[in-house]
Amino acid sequence: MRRARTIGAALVAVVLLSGCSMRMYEPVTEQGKDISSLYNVLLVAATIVFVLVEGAIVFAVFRYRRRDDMLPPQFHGNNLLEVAWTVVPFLIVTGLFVLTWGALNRVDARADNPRVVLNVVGFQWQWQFTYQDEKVQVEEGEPAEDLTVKGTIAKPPEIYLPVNQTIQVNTEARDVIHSFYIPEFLFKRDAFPGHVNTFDLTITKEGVYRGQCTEYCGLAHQAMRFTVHAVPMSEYRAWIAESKRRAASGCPEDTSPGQIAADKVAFDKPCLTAEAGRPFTLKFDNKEAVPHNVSIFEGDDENSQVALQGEIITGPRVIDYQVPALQPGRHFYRCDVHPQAMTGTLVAR
Amino acid sequence: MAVADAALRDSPEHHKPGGISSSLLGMVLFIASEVMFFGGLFGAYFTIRSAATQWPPEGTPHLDTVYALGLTAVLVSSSVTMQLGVWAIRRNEQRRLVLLLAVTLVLGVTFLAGQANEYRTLIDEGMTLSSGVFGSTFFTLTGFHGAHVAGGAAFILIVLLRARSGQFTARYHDTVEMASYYWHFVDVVWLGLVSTIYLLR
Amino acid sequence: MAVTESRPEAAAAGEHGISPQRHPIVQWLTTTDHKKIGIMYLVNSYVFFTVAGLLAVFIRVELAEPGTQFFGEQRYNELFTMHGTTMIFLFIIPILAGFGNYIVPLQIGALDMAFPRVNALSFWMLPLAGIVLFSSYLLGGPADAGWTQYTPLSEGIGAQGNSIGTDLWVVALLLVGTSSILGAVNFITTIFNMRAPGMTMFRMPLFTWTMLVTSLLVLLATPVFTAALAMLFIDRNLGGSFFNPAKGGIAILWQNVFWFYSHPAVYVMVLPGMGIISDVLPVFSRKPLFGYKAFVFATVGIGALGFSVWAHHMFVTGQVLLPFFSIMTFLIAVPTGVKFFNWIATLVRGKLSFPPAMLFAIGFLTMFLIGGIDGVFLASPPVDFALTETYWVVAHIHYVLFGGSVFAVYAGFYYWFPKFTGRKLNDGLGKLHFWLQFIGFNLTFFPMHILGLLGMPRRVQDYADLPNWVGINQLQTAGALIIALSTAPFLANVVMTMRRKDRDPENPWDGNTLEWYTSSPPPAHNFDSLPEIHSERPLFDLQHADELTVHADATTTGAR
Repeated sequence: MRRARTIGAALVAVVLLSGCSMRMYEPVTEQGKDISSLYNVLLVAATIVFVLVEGAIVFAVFRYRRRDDMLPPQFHGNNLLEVAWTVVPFLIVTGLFVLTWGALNRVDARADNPRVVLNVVGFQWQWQFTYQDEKVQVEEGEPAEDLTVKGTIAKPPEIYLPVNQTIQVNTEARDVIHSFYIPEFLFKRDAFPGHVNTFDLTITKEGVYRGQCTEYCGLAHQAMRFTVHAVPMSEYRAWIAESKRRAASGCPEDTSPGQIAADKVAFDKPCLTAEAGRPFTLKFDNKEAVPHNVSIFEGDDENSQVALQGEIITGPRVIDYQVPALQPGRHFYRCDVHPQAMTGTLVAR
Repeated sequence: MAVADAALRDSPEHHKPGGISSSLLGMVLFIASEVMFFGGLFGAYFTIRSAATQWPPEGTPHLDTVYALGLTAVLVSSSVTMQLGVWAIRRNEQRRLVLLLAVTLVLGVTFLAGQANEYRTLIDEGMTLSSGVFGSTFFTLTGFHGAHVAGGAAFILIVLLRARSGQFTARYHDTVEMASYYWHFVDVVWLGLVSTIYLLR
Repeated sequence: MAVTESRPEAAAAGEHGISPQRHPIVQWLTTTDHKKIGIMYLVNSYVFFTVAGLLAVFIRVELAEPGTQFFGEQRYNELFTMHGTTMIFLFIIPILAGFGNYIVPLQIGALDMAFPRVNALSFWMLPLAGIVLFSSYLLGGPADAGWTQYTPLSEGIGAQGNSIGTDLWVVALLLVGTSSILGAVNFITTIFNMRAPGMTMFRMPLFTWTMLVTSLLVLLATPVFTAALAMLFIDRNLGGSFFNPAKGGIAILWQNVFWFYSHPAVYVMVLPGMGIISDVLPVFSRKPLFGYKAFVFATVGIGALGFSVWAHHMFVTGQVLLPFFSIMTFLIAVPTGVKFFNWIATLVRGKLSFPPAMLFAIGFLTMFLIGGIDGVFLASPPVDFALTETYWVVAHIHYVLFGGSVFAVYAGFYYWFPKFTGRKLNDGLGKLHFWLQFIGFNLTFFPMHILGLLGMPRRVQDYADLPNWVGINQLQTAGALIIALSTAPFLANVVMTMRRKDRDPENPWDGNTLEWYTSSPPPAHNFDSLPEIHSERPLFDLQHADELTVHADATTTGAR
């Protein structure tokens, strides 16, 4: 009996200790608050059930050890008990479901006028974020485009979102199923090809939050990461303005014109600069043993004519592409082997 | 080996009073599993259909419903002749059984030939397994059904040959009953197919 | 026709017109005896258990540190795909069918299964399926899109790994599915039609009941998976567009058809195990299973409800009716709870002894409870939004499948080994096996709950170099190595015991059910005679008739 009690005490200690580490992240979104509260209710219920049932098993194991060869009383059952331990759990799970339904309605609620609409597209193996209605005048005479931030495996995207504002997120995918997951938001939603998922987020706490794809999608699944900076509205607007300026200004990221490299299924630059009207040499450095090339188009997407279709090479190898004279303006470029993951814009001035 | 199995099956456990013989129960269960198989395919068909903006999609060749109803008449008749055969052997009319099995087989093969003909027409008009979602669902559903008809026809052929050598009597003809269950099932699936693909659209 | 080793007159049978004794290998290859087939199922499945277990060790070794050490992304994806596929389809489903094959005819007093030749066919499709599946390693690489093979990834859309491996996966699973369905037809027919006189449905042992319900699930659910596999094959190889959105297909259709089967399949993977526990606990408590009828109804209830919850695997797809699937999933906890309370009530006021079989049965109770509880969290969609596709789910599935089914399988092994061979396995080695496995198992899988809460996704071979994550992963790898180690005393025990010349008593546990009435191992025809059957414990009634008149039943409202 004493042994049973010490074991019982040890069990309780273990449960309490692990209870501390069995907490979710502190919620940092409105939706997260509902999820976290519901989880805590479930955790309490689970702990009680665990202690009672596991305790009963352990108790029985020690208390009813065989000490002689006589048969014990041959109980077959008890209908009252059966009813009791059917009805009570039924009421408990029904209660848990009612709480669930309430939380679900709040978590999945959608506002009529979100402050920010973020369109997220997943593809093998990175993300693209488009801020709907944040227009950027990219080229003269062309319609303004929504501001888009696209990541590469080597350079995962960092996006900014305002705190305490309703953000509507739409997720979709270009090829296979991906999943948009930010652990600290306690939330994920799949990104499907051929179907758009929509949900609202309201971030309540400033911070930097890691995100990651969480629906297995092939080779570089674990590399599909991104970061969300949740900032005050003023800082958000400043970042939007700065991003728009950078998107419209050509390509300040190209600090070494005339060359581009490929590694880990990504280009090292999201854009290139070049002089318009004169042929030039583009040095292409493929750093990995995966076939890549560079193809440059006349217009700003792949539906326009090809200006240069570079030879596909498997690295590590460097090749010089002779690029013909290009019109001034934006020219889409991509790797033909990985047309979704490896794209960019060449700005010819 | 076969003797022991037959002994097992004819033993009292296999013919419980008021119960169903093991061979027949086995066939019923097998048919239940086949129903679920077609259920999965039908489920896919309905899901794809309900998500489509237009059904059948644009450019789909016209399906000959009258022709399909003709094939239906053939298959339903073959179920009738099959059942007549079962009733015949229950009365120990062995020659009649053989005749009715032969007619059933001919009708079944006629159905298959008719189905093949329709396939040829549709393929000529550009509808194939790979021509899009309607082609995929149409040929998969009707194709698996046709395969089951072919299997059933082979089963009936074997039963026919055994019937001709006098192996069935009023007391022992479980295999004939089994074949009839399977054949009726194949017919019912066809009725479902016709209603869904041709009539409901 | 079955040839047996325990009939000395068989050698002289030639003069009676019966075929003479054949070479043992030929005997085993051509047998239609359910006992031999059962043994082959058990051995074949255990071999695949160790293979899939080795794959798991490789996974854990890679995960001990962040970054890539031994297996690159492609190899790693193949590892977890083949681990899951092999464990589910080549180990746990068949091994339970193997126990069923050997034991069910004995428990109902039949002389074999209803269709012995179909039974043999069902078995031989399994090693064939294993060969087909693993031949992919030699033919360019195995399947690599997870055992769930979600489309469009498994269709070869986008940058993709191994094409032929996935097709071989499809073929192998078509073979396994057919084997299962034929087996189900056999079990159901046998149980309905071949019970001994006096063995009414409500006097069958619980293990046989669970095999019946499981077989109904297999019969009705597996063909839907067959349809899914056929459609996937057509999409991949014949230009079909069932699941390809670019051609008018629907990506999520695969998940719906797949889970419509795969959810009932998890009950296929655990119900017979619960049946084993329900047979074992009463024997080592020396009293009947508490609430026999409630158990039967709970089992049937779980089977039926199991068909209505499949989309709880798809809560984050945004394309399922969340409240319906949530409530149905919560409800399944109720019959499961009923079973737990009845098992505990069986122990209470009993006289418990703890040979290895009972240790593993108690292990099942304590571990499956955790798996059931952490599953309830996932039944709630908002909480599921946080926890699904993380290591929380990996914890849940292993607590129910390993903590549950594998512990139950070992309980069955230790319990019925003397029935198969006439010798008990050694208790000391059995206890060592149990404790090593119990400790290793909890060390490996309990911390996964915490990893899931921290946000570590599944199916990644590289993870964020955060301090907690590395420490926990290393602990888990150590646990996995302990699990691997724990199989050593078990295998040594089997080898040692089989080498013994002496025999143990034929009913060493004082078992309650009919399989213990005949010799260990049984003769080819199973029973020379049958006792009278008046309850679900015919043997107990026989052995303890006089003691029972002394102890009157204490409650008047017992379910009998």
